[in-house]
Amino acid sequence: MCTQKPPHDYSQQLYDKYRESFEEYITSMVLPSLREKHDEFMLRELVKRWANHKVMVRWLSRFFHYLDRYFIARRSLPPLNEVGLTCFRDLVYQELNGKVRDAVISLIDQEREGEQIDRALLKNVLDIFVEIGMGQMDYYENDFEAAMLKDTAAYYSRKASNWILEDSCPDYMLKAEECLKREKDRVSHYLHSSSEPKLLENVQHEELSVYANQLLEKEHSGCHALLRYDKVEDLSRMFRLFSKIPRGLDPVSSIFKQHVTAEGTALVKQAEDAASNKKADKKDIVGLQEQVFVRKVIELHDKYLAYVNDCFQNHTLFHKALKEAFEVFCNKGVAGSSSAELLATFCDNILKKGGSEKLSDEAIEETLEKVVKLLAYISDKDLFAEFYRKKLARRLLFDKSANDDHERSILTKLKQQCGGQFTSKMEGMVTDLTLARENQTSFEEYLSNNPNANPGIDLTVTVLTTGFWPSYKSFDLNLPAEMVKCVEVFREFYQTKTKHRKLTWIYSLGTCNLIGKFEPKTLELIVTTYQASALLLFNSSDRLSYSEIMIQLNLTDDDVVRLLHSLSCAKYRILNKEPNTKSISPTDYFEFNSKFTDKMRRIKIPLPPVDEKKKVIEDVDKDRRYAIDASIVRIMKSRKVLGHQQLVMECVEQLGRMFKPDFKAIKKRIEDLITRDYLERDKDNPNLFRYLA
Amino acid sequence: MDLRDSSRVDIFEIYQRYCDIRSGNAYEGERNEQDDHAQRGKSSRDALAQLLNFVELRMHMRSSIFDELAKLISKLEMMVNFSEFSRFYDFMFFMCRENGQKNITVSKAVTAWRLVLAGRFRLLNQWCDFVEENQRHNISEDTWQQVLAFSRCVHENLEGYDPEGAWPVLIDDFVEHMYRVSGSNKDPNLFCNCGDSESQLFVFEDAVP
Repeated sequence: MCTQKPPHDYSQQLYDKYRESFEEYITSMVLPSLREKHDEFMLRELVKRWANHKVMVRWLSRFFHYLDRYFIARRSLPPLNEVGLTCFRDLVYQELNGKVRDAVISLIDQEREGEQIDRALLKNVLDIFVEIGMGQMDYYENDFEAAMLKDTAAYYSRKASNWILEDSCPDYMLKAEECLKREKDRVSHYLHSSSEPKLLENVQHEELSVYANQLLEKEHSGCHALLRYDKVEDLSRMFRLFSKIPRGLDPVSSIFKQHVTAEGTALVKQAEDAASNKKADKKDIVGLQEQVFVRKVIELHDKYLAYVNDCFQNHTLFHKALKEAFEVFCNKGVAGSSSAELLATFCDNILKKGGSEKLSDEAIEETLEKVVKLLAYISDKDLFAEFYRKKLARRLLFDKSANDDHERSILTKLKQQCGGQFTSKMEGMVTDLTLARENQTSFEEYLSNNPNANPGIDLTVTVLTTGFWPSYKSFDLNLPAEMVKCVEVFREFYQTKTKHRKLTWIYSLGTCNLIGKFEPKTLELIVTTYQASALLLFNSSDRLSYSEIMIQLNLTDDDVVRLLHSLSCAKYRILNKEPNTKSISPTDYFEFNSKFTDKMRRIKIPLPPVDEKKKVIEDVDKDRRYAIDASIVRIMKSRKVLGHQQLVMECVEQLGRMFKPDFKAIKKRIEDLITRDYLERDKDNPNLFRYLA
Repeated sequence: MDLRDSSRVDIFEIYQRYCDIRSGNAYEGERNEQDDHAQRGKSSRDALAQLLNFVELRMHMRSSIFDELAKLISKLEMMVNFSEFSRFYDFMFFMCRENGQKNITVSKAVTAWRLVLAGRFRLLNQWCDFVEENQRHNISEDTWQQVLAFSRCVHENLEGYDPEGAWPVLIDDFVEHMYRVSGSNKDPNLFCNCGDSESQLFVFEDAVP
C-alpha cells in the first residue's frame, strides 16, 4: 500500500487512519470509563488506561513502522509514537488533568494528616504528568507542581499559625524539623526529584521565615531562654533550621551576641560590686576578686566558644558575634583597673612563685593559652604589654618567677597572636637574665682570681639591656662605703669584659641581707638597698633626724617617707620613732631599736612598691602619641593629599592591632603636625591635608 | 622703602609690608608657575620671620599692640571684603607672636579675638570665656585660622557645625561644651540672650568708625 506510485500510494490515508483509531478508542472506551469514576478510583482507572494506551501505541506504531521510516521522515510529520501519545494528551489529559491534580493533592493532604495512602498509585499518576511532556517538564510543573506548592504553602501556613500560638519554641522547632523531614521523604517516594528544593523552600518559608522573629523572641522559650537555660540540643536544632532560610541566622547570631554581652556585663558588674564592698576591708582581697573575675571571663569564653563550635557548627557569623560580645565587656575594666591590667595581673599571679592559684603544669599552660585568646578582644594591647613587662620585670629581678618554661611558653603564644614586635622586649628581658647568670659566674671566678679585689661582701649584679626593660628612676643614692667598694669592684670587672658600655646602677631594685645584732639575738634582715642604706647610717650615729637621713641618703621626700615607714611604723620596728605615731613627718627623729626581736631567725622587711599604675598609663600615652604621629606621617607620605576623615580612618586601621586610638587624640596629633610643618591644610578645603616634604 | 632705615615705623607700614609678603610680591613679581610651592612658602616664611624680628625691635616700647591694632581697624575699610579681612585676621595673629614663637598665648588670643571678631562671630563671648577657662596651652596658627572659618559657618544655635569635619580639638570641645550648657538648660531664652548680646555688639561696632 505504501510502496506504490501515486495515486495508489495510501500512506497519507494510513497515517490518518492510525490517528483516528486512537481517537475512536479513547472517545468510546477510555473517556466514558474515566468519567464515571472519581477520586482515587478515577486515578486507578487512569493509571490502568495509560498503561493500556502505552501498550497500544507501542504495538500499533510497530505495525506501521514503515510509515515512520519513509513517509513521515520525508514529510517531516510527527512520528507515530508521538501521534499516539498526543491523542491521549489532547483527549484524556486535557479533560481530566484538573480533576486528577485535585485528587492527588487531596491524597497528599490526607497523608500529611497521618493517613495511610497508596504511594505507588500517586507515583504512577505523577509519572503520567512527566511522561505526557515527552521529555519536557512543562506539564508536570504547570499542571501539577504549581498547584501542589500553593496548596503546601497554604497547608503549612495554617499549621504554623496555630503552632506559633500554642507551642513553645523547642516544640515548634521539633515539629518544623519533622515536617521538613517528611516532605523530603515524600519527594523521594512519589514526587519528581526536581520538586524537592521548591517544596522544602516553601515549607521553610511558611514555617520559619514568616514566624522567625515571633519564634525567636518567644518570651519563655525563645532563643534568649534557650541560651539562658543552656538548651544545647534545641539550639543546635535552631541553627540547623535557620541556616536553611536566607539570612535566617542573622537574628539568631544577634541574640547570641546580646546574650553573651549581657552575661559578660553581669560579670563585670558583679566584680565591680565585690570590689566596692571589699575595698573598705582590705586591699589584697580586691586583687583576689579581680583574679576571680578573669577566671570567670575565661570560663564564659570556654562555654560559649563550645556553643559556637558545637551548636552553631563553627559558623563565621557566630564567631563574629562572640568576638563582638567579648569586645564590648572586655574593654570595660573593673573598679578602676583596665582589663589590660587585670589580664597582666592574672598572668603574673599564675607565673609567680606562691601565687594564689596552685595549678599543675598542664593547667597553667592551658590557662595561659586562654588568657592570650582573651587578649585578642582587648583593644589596648599596648597597655597590656606595658603592664606585663612591669610584672615580668618584678618576677625576673626578684627571683619570683616560678618556672622558666612557662615564661617562655606564654611569650611564644603572645608572639603568635600579636607578632614579634609585641614580644621582642619581653624576650630580651628573659634572655638578659640568662646572660646575667653567666655573667655572675664569671664575676665570681674573677673575684677568686683577684683576692685583693674582693670587697668582703657577697655581691650579685644583674646586668640588663636598657631598651628591653621598663624605665626605672635611678637616683644618686649615697651608698654606704662598703657598697661603694662593691660597685667599684664590679665596674672594674666589667671593664675587663666589655668596652664602650655604660653601666647605670638602679639601686631601687636591689636587695640586701643584713646581719642585725639586737640585744635579744642576732637576726638576718632581708631589705632593699634603700632600707639597708638607711639602716647602716645607724652604725655611726644612734639618733638621726628625718632631714639628716634625707640629706645623707640623698633621696626624695617620697622615698624617705616610704622607707622610714617600713622600718619604724610597719610590722617590724627596727627603728624607734619620736614621736611614736603611725606616720612619718619631716620633724621626726629616729633611733636604732636594740630591743627588737622576732621568733624567726631571718625576716624580710617589705618595702611597698610605689603604685606604678599611673606611670604605666602615662608611658603608654606617650608611646601612643609617637605611634599616632608616625602613622599619620607614614600615611601622608604615601598619599600626599588626603581628606580628614580618610586620614583618621586609615590611622585607626593601622594602629588597631595595638590599640584603639580615639579620634580626638588623632586630631590633636594632626594639629601638632601642622604646627611642626609636617602637614598643612588645603587653602580652599580645610578638611583636606597636604603633606609637606 | 627699606624698613631698617626708618626710625619711626607705624602699624600701617608693617601691615603694608605684611600684605606684600603674603601676596608674594615682596621679592619678585611673577615667578613662573613651575616654581616650587614649598620653595615660595619657605621664602615667605623667612620674610615674615624677618619682619617679626623687626617689629619686636621697633614696636616694643610703644603703647599696647592692641591699641595700635584697633587704630588700624578703624582706619582700614577692609571689613567689606572677606579675603582682605581674612588677611587682616592673620595679621592679628602675626602681631601677637612673641620671641619668634609659632603660637600665641591664650590671653593675647582672646583679646585679639574680642577686637577683631566683634560683630562677626555670634558666639564670640561664649567662645572667649570658654577658651580662657579651658585652654591651658598656647593657640596655634592653625587653630587661629580655623576659628575664623568656624565663626563664619556656624550659627548661634551651632547649626552649620559639621562634627565630621577637621575642626581643631579646641573647637570640638567648645561645641560639646555649648551643647552641654544648652542641654542642661533647655530654656530657649538662652539663644535669645546670646542674640541680644550680639545685637549690642553690632551697635557697638557701628559706633566705632
